[in-house]
Amino acid sequence: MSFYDQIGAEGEIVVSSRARLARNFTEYPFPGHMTEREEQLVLDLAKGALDHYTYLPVNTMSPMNASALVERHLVSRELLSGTGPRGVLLSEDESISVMVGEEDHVRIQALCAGFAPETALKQALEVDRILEQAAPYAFDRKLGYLTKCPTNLGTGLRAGVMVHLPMLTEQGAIRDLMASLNKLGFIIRGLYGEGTAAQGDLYQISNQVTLGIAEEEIVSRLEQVVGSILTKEEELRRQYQKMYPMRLMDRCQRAAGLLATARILTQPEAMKLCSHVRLGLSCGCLKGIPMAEMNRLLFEMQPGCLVSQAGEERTYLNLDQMRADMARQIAQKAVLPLIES
Amino acid sequence: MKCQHCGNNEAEYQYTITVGNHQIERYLCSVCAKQLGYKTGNADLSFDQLFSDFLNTKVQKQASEVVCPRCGSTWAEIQGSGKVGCAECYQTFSDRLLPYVQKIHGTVVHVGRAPQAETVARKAEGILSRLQAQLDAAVEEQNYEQAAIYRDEIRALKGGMEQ
Ligand SMILES: [Zn+2]
Ligand SMILES: [Zn+2]
Repeated sequence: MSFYDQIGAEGEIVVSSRARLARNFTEYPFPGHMTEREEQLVLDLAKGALDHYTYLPVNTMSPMNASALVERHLVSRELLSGTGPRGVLLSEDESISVMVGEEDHVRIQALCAGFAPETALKQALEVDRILEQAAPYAFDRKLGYLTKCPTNLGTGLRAGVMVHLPMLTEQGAIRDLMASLNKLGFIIRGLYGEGTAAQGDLYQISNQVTLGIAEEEIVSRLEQVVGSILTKEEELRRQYQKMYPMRLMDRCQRAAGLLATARILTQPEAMKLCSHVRLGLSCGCLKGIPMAEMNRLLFEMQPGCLVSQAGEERTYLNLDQMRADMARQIAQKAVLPLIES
Repeated sequence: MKCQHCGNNEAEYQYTITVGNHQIERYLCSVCAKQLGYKTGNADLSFDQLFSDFLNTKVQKQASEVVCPRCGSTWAEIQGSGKVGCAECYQTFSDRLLPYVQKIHGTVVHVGRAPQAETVARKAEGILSRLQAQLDAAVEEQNYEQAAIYRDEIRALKGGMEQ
């Protein structure tokens, strides 16, 4: 069970919400300036405080399994490239992940389905309260929580949502959106792939400013900003459906057909088709596939996830074939609504 | 005038702080001011001061290479990576880091949560400065009986804070 198995508020557009807190213990220098023994002490500290969590040591696991953790948004790519003892502590339902030994001593992350950044913040803060009992945090009255990178000072909070914006993308509005979000202290970036060339029309929107603004205020501004983006995306979808109903129907149903019959699917192609199917499900051009299964597919068809699911003993894997197998099972549930002519 | 925090040293700095919805003045020695997290050298952290710090950095850099006593980072290293080596770097290089922080966040003053221990300490300090103000007022009014009560309360509270 994972966040992507559930559909939260505004689930047709918002896949997930996330809150991440950067924290350091005052006793030790920051990662990169610690001895291996100190790294181990910080790790033991976090493990001891969260002894009901499962610890996954990233430095000793296979690169593909580690990569799967990144694809499922449980750890950052930066954690994998570090050295020394480091890993992630996972809550049972995987909604909370605490990275140890990334850029900061600990990075507490809470993930929720749908549009629920406030809930994510609350959950992250609960874990924060547990960890601060273990050892005092590096904190300064003026600068707030002290972090290795000054961009995280103050609250140390990065709150974000993962959104599916096929219509805003098609209208070429993302670049404009990027510019105006930047003025508000927010950033939008493609989830897989860089900048505007986002695969699957999926984006991450999060705050950039962490200092001089309280946690709740960051979250409520995020909610406002994302709220207006959702309104725009929904409006564009309605307009398009009104003007070109057949074109929309064709695009979504054709994509479902391809996904339901393909034997080989590259990652970019699958992402593109999934985007059309998601759109189809949300505007009634397609039925029968639960949105949660589409979300699951988005994550689990990534290369690392495919390999780790297949198991280590498989020596030869055709990922594109495995991806197609996975997609077919889900897309075959598609039901095409009757068209009144 | 004596420092309002330790009561021992001569007060060197004057701060205006807001307690609840009114502003109060505090007089502190340099040791306590630093310990309580006040910026010493200039009581008010104005933008002009920030910029002059910024302008002065070139001169300072040539004078001698500052090294963080805790982690050994130099300013060149911090500038190169954009990241500091430890929490103390923020003090060691505050004159150079603050303008940078100001640029990124548009402010250098944290608003929001604090660790629980910090919250407790702050609350006690708030009570303390209120008591101090009441004590001052009682002395002003020559109400020494009342002043003695405030003084004892302050002592008790300080004793508790040290533990
Ligand atoms: Zn003093
Ligand atoms: Zn340092």
